[in-house]
Amino acid sequence: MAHLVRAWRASRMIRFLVLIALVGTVTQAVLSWGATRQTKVIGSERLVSVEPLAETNGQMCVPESVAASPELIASLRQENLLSARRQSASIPPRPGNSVKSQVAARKPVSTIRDPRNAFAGLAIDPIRNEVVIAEENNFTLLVYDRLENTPARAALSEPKRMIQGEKTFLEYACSVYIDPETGNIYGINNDTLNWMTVFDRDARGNASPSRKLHTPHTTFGIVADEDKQELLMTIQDDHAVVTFKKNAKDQDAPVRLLQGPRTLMADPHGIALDSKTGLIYVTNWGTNQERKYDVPWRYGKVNWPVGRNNNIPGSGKINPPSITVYHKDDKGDVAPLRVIQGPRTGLNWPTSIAVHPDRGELFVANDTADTVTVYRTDSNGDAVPIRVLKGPRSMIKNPTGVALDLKNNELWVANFGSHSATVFPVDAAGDPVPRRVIRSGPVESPSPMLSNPHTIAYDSKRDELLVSN
Amino acid sequence: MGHPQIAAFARLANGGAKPVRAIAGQNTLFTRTIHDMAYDPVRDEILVPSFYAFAILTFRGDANGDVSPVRKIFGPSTQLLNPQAVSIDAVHGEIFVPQGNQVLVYPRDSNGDVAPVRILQGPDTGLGAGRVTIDAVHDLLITANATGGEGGVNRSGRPAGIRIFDRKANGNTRPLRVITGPGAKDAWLMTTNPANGMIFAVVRPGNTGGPNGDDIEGRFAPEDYVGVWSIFDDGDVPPRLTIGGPNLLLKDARGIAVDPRRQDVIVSDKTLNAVFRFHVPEAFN
Repeated sequence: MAHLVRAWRASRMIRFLVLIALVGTVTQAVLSWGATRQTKVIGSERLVSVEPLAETNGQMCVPESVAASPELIASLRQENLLSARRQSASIPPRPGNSVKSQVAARKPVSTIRDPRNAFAGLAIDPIRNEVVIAEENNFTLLVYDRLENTPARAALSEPKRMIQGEKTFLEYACSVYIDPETGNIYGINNDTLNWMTVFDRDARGNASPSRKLHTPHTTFGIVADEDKQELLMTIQDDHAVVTFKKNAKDQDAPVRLLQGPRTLMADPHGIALDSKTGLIYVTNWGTNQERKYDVPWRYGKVNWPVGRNNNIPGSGKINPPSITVYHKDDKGDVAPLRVIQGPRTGLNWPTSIAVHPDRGELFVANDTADTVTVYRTDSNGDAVPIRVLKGPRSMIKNPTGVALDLKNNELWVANFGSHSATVFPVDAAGDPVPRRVIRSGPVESPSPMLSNPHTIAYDSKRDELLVSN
Repeated sequence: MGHPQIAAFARLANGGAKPVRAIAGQNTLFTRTIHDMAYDPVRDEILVPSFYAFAILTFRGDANGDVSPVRKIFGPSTQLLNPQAVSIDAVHGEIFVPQGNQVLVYPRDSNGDVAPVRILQGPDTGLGAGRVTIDAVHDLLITANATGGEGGVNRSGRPAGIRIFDRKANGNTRPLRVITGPGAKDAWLMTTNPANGMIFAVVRPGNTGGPNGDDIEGRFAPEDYVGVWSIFDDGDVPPRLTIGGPNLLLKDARGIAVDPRRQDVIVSDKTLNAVFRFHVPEAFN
């Protein structure tokens, strides 16, 4: 019996081996038949298909020490695609109307947008106990009570009044001025809409300006000379300060122009006037260029700045940030009386400036240093700040606006990076807790700081989207 | 616009999302008017024009905070003049800067006061070059010059439309093809998807603010859209596809990027202060 079982097992094994051999033979025959067919040439060679390449993220696979290799590999991959695509130079068919309609009506799958107000600049009205904030995210001017203080557990404070809408001519308002006599609000648009808008104090909603004034493109800062009833404004593009009559409107021309290489202005932003000394202080980010100045007045307007269409190719300059000091009546190509500039100043994108005449102090908002630096008004050269406000308790984050309430001796800061305006005693220093805070969003709400998002690019290595302001 | 920056957002970012990082600050040499930039996937670098310093700045791809560029094209030999746009040919290693009636070309490794290796300019080019993009696969240099709503020429009196040149075009060279028509003459920023030879351009018809940015009538109408053309299109042809409008969403479209792997088109809008991602497989097939 055992013999019979062994024989049966052996026979089964032999049959199994024969079957395996048969399957192998057939498989080889099929494969070789397919290979022969694949290389068979019918007519001329042609491109049948192109597979998309893997992302050019060679640095993930190749050690960092072989610096050239990832680039070479990536380029070669691209070249493969390149040689393939050169053979496919034909016009693809146009999609049908149905497809076009469907695509044209398709909604986005995601939207990056900060719904909250982003505070850019501010002005205090101590007479009427209000603060007006220029806001860039939703194109508004916001009016709050001066003593508003957002409770810690509240999401935000609602403004008393809000000026917003297409009739307002507001877009990227970055600076604001309040007429102490009337309470009227003057807004400066930094981009696209080249108008200074003036609103009655009680204006709200989609209100038309009571008057507006054509201003040079890229006007940023504004300060008033109440004695002379004039408005002085910085112009980024033209590295200039223009002065208008305070009641100027429509196409009125400036009454003075301060512009030229001797002024040392370079991408000017903030401007402040010391009413005691008659000096003006201008903060400069540092880049400028050469241009021809012996040209006719632009738009036929006297004292209109010489525009960038007169720039000289290759003449760009890169300078450290600075504060340049002039007399308020200076005009033409006048050298500054003093220049505060140097590594010890702590200036870093100095965007806004205020002066306290009685204390003899300058307050500067440094956007990317997250600081407010304070200097003596007679500082010169590489001056060390006499005080610095900075730190997490202060909530100062990307400050782009600074203002002084001379009546109540308070320092106000607009924090573009934290949906907040913070209020400090005028002599605050270090990392102080604000005396009051006005917030437009919860403390923990992120601030993308999108403002005029323009160009975008896709970072395929990190799967990230790059967005420029 | 008080705060220039380049912010990096995660692909799935939505709403008021916090950027994963942002490049900004004194050391960056950024100024306002960053109207274009380029990502170089081969070198993992970001290129940014500096409008006031007349420079092209190159940053590491992972740059974050107040960092200096690793290279800058800067100086009198560069001929740069208020550069506001830039494009990179990552395959052949060249930087393209459109500048009105010319396109300046520099080697990717250029640093300091470097002259362009080629300049595309002259009456036969028909430039206007407001923006430029490169299709390195099909060896094409593509320029756009929008009218700003003022007929067949742009604000500087240069002819409008999408012009397609050989990538190596130099001097007074005619374009291979010119796409005209209502959409192409209002095309601004562009990008390409070389895998299927499509051009994606932001189209801004209607009022864009007038010659001096003073005109507000109709300024905020949702007329804008992304137009899609083939690199083989020629003459008075409408876009093959329109994305985000017209009369849907986009009011003042600006930037454009594509994510070919997900078949997504991403576009920014200045008036809406937002960045939108559209899923459009039809544009990538």
